[in-house]
Amino acid sequence: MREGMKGERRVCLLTGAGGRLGSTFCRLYRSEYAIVAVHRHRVPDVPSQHRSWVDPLHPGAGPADDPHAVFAVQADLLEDRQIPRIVELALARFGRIDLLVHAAADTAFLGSMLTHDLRRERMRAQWSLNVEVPIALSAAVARMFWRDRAAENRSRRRNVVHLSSVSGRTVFPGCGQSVYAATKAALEMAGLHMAEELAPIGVRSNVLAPARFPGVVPVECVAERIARFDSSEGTGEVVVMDERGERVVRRKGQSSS
Amino acid sequence: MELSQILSNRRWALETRPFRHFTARDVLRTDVLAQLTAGFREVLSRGLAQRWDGRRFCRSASGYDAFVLPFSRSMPRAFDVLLSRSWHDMLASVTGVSATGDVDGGLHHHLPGSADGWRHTDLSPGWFAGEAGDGEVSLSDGRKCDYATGRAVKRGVLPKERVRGAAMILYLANGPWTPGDGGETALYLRPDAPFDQPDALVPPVDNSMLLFECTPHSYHAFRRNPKKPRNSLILWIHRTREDAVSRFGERSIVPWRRGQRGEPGTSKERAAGHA
Repeated sequence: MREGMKGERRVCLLTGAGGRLGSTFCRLYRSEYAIVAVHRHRVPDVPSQHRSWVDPLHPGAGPADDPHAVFAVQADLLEDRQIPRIVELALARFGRIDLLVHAAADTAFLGSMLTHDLRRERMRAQWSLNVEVPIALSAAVARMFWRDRAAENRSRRRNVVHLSSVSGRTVFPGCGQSVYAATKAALEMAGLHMAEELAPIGVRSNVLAPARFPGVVPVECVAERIARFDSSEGTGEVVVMDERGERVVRRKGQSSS
Repeated sequence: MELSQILSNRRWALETRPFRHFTARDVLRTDVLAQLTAGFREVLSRGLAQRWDGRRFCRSASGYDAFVLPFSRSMPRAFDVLLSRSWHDMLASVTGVSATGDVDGGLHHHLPGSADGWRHTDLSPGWFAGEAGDGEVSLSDGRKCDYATGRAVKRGVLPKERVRGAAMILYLANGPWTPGDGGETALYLRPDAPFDQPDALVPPVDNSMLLFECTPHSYHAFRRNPKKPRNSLILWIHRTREDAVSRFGERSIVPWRRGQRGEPGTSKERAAGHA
């Protein structure tokens, strides 16, 4: 169990919980973390407050709850008012946030940037979800909870993990992913700057840049790397996971390698 | 056979979003599922008909892109376990429906590339001839009375009106399923939500089941299956109209559209518009 104060589970606020990575993280770590699973349409396929269990031959015995159910929160992250709502719900439910994972992403390849005029709104939406929302949600958590708890944040190793992509570091020609790649490159820089800006309040920030999962990297490995970020002491790191394995390609204060 | 000997999984998930429903995987024992699957495929091997002949899948009503074979006692015996009073009573007990013993439904077959269905609640009336005997269910029988209208087809029949109380979809004879194969049952919180943005999707994994009480909010629909056929068994238990009206109000009960369910042996197609 990932322990926080007095042996309690660490509290993880996870966006994109309905996606492949988010659901996998919930499935693998719900017994170790108290997870606030933020999803838009797809509910993560794990027990939650919306799911209990019934014996069809004895339904009168009442539903059985799962002690490690995630706390599912449905929200459209592109709506500004949802950001503080999510943080309020997480704090109301668990009283704290130890780990913030930005796994929600618009992964669509929107074609050439030269067709911007034809897809302006779509591109803006992708930019908003992939870049602005992680910034806004991190800022909200910092403002509503972390800001005045620097010593506690350090002792509990609180941190933010940003799910970027190798697409933000390498040009893959002919795929039409220029805008998506730009959002991931921006997210990587935002995550590194966030390490600098959250340092005074004792909160770490790191970036994970996997290749396509599950095609190149197993989803479980990406989920496990998130958990390792949480267990570590590092901040301002970019970790790439691809067919060559896993490696730190950037540390705070260093130029990219 | 006792239900405890039929069921493989007695841990059914009660979900509350977007509306109260139950899902379960590995519902039936392997041998029971194998018999049902063999029975389904046997019926499928009889071919597909454009008009109802009582023994083959026939094209459903306009708007529902599927072939349907309504329940009858002439179906393979393997299906008797799901048409038993004990199965009926179990569904009633799980969903909390005061059920009458009346059962409607059938086998559904969607060819690859079948179109999306439409959102609906299933809170609709159904007419039956006769009463269920002790320990038995009363199957809807279009040769005696029209399920949708209550028109007596056979002399001497006194149709009685019921309202659908709960719906069960058992997915079978589909083979392996992966995301992208389609054929899911989509569930919606609101009737005006975008069709392509359901609040939940129940995949047609063999030996899995979706069960829900038919209420004014139980919006669901069939999602197109671009790649593979999609097969299922669909069953409705019923409540009295008085019970439905007292719970939901008269206006919540959705009448059948003209032609949505036809009469057997006529030019109209018999349908069971469902997802």
